[in-house]
Amino acid sequence: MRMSGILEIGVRSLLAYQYALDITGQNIANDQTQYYSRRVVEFQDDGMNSGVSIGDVRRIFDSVADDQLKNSITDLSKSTQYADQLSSLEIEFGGDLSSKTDIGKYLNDALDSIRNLNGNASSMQNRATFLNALMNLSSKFNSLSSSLQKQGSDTNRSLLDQIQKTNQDISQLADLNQKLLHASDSEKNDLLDKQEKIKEDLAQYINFKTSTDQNGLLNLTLDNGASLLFGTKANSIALQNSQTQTNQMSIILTDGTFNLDVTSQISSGSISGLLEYSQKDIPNATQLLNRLSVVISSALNEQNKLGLDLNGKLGSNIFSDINSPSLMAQRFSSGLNNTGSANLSVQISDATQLSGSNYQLVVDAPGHYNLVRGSDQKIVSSGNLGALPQTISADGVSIQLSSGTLNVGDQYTISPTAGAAQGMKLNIQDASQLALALPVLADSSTQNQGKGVISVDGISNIQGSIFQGNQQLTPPLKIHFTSDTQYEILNATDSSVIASGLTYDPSQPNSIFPTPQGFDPGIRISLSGAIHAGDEFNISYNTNPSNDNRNGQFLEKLFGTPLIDQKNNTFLGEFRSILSGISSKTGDTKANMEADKIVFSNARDRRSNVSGVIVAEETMNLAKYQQAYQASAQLLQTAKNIFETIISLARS
Amino acid sequence: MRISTNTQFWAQLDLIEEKNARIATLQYQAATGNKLKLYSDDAALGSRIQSLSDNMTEYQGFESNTSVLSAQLSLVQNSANKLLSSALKIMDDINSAKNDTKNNQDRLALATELQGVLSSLLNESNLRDVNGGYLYSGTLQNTSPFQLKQGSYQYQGTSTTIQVSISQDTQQAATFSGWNVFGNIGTGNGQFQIQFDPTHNTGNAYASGITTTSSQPVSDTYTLNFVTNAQGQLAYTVTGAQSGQVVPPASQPVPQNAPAFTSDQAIQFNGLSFQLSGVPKVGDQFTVSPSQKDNVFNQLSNLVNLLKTPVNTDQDKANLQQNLNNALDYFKQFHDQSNGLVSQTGITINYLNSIAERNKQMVGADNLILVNEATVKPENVIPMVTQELQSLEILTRSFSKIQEILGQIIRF
Repeated sequence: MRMSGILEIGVRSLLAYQYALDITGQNIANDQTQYYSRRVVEFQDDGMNSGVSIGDVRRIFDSVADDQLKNSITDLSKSTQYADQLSSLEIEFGGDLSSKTDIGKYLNDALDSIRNLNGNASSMQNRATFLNALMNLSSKFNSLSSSLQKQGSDTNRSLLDQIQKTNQDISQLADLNQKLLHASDSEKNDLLDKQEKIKEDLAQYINFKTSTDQNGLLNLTLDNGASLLFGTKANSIALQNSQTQTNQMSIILTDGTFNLDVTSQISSGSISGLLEYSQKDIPNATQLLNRLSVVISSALNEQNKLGLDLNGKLGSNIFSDINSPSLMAQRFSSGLNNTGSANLSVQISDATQLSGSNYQLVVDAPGHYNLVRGSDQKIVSSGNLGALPQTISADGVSIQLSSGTLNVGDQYTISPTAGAAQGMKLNIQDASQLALALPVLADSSTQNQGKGVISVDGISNIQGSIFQGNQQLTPPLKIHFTSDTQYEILNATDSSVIASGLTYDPSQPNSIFPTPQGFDPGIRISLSGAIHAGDEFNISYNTNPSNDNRNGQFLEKLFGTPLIDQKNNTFLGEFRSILSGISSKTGDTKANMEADKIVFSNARDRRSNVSGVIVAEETMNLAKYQQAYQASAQLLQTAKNIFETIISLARS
Repeated sequence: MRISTNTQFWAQLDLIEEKNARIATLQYQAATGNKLKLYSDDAALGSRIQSLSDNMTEYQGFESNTSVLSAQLSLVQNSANKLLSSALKIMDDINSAKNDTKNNQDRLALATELQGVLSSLLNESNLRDVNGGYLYSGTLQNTSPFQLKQGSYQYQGTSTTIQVSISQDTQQAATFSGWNVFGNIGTGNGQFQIQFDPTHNTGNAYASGITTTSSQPVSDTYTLNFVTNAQGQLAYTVTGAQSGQVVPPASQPVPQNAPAFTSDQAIQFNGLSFQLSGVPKVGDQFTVSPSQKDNVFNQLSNLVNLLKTPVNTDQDKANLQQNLNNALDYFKQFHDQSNGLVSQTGITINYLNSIAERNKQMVGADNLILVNEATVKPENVIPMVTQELQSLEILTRSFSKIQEILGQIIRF
């Protein structure tokens, strides 16, 4: 054997095992690094008398496991983000059981206070309590609406932050691709670890697919193939206002020149969670809240206007007018590409029919329109439009096209309830303006021989001429029975006949108005019981409203009457339904999150079990390589000894 | 199977995290007694809790109304009992005044007594609730129900009443129409009245109470005249303002065919029947007419005035008896009406009590369900917390042990 052979073998093996020890040390050092892929040293026999050297340092990974982990991170990130956001929404709406300040509470307070007030309608204290309850209710609508707006803006800010981080990650991956082009094998492993780390980070934000080109460079695409990263060319995503839908945001993919709307491609990751929350849940909750606000305002306003206040005046709106000119003008927005000049205003004609959704008014052909409901994309009205003015009605909404022109392609977004909860304010400040009395009294003459009972069932129209007098009916009316089953309606002032030959059925309640001939003063009167010829009933203005709670009873009944959602829900029922919907969705999302956690945990373990470090294993390697290293050193020592022996022999 | 150190580490961490979350939940339950923190923790249960809470609020919302109404009705029932006593007192005094042995002085004393009853009734009509509102004015609670205007008592309230909700679909009157309590009573027997004509009559006959013999007596104003018939007997004819000659039938000549009068014998025509006591004279007249609705105050005033009027002649006596009979008929109706009010208020109070009791039971039942479904007992939760804490401690020790072993391996 050549002397240099053992020396060379010793040196080479020493170097090889030193390197192996380095690699093992590197593995041990990264045993807690999630994205790190362990390295395995492969020794190679360098041939007779050449010893051993490092054949390869393999980076252990499983691309399927990596992909699964990436996808599970994306899904978990979305469900976690989404569940967090929905939990916030749920708490805003009072989903925390310890919360005692939700809209339901204020609705119950208002109902309690109107009930108490109806027990003593003249009590200013009771009136003030009811008014205060209504003020609290409107304030709650205002604050909840503001919170939703703030949540919307906070979510958009988070979206912008996460989009920025996404772009940074894509950009870093492009840089890594650049470095990979020129990296040595050992550098490549480190770069691939870094790439893995950034991929996992990016996976938190958006869903993407990966592929590797012939140069080993990473490419990223969205589900539809749109490129996020191609070799060293990084594209970026951005948030912008939707080109097709008002008040909606879009995610666009841009290379700096061309923009592509990829909103529908972002289906997972925290950005997707934020986007869904921002684009669906907040608008839905806001629309439902606005609709509830409109229906409450409309119902209480209309009923109060049919009554008489403590000052003897006809009632006014309790809350701000839902159809004020300024509100009507704010309920639409014109498409960006409109060429027509139509002037619109949007009136709520029947709040009980409101869907809560927005609508798209589209001129699809010359003189022809479609009105599409946003919630289900159903055409709710369609037809030809002649010269303006025209009115389009659907779902309790009247769109008044007053003047100007409509051209093909023109689009308008109609938002009938937009801003309602935010703008809900008390219109009356003085509790005496609560119109708890009815403006009409109906009474039987004290000389009646029969047992007829008359009652005012309500006021159907306060705008009629009979109510145009100053605190009097014009004219007051009298029902005079000409026989036990026939009656006439007289002007009580001059006894002139207004309607005659009217038939009365004593076996059932009889509605007096409108008469078969069509006389309708806007008052609903019923008469029942046995009546004698000559009996009379007077219908007059109520000049003493202080204790009259008849309209107060109607106001009270509004709280228990289904008036929302095609008259399917009461005020409280609707609120509970909104909260229940949010809670249910939050619960489902939390359950999804728990499932995603399990999937993530399995994917993480799978990858870790392939690529992760086992300290015991590495410790064994360490011992093994250490021994080999020491043996190699011993080889050198032996070589040295031999060499020294030879030298000493030569000297002697 | 290869299990990385990280996998071991994460598995331990996941378990510890899970335990911590569980302990946090149990601690919340122990501290608040609530099973859920957010409705979304169990959306179905959350929805049920909301529904039960709303139901309880709904039932409790009627408590105030039912208790206030019950108190008001107790006032009215008490008042109605007083009206009943007054009606009996009035009828006693009328019967006493009818006694032939009573002289003018006696009747004056009765008049004074009845004047007191009138004041008492007027006072009762002004019954007010705890808020000072009149209970017998219908919807006009700030108006005294009966006021003396132009010499007579007139009702100032309404026939409609103030209604208050006592359950979701039920309302109950919180006030009463004073007209239906103190008025709305027809003079005479309520359908017809018979009147003595003191300006014409020279005899001493007077009528007892009038009765109806048909369910639909012919409504008319009848004049009964005493004549001498063809047989020279004291006879009578009856003529209706609308009906014309009723007795004898229109086909027969009068006074020749007029039926002979016999004292205390029923005179019947067109569904009506009454008797005349005493001896009428030819030319005497009685009028039978439909009742007029009046209130007790006017009728009692008239009665007081009647009793104050001295009785000197047979005609005065007949007139007194006639009017006392009419008053007796009227106040019998007032008695019945008051009795009806006592009964009605009693029934309503019982009804309100049953509603209140039902509401209370419903609240109790809902509350029981709520307690069972929505709350947890600390004594049940605390052992679970202890158990979970012990479990956490074992986990933590196990985690430390594993880390220690790893350290040993590395040292080795």
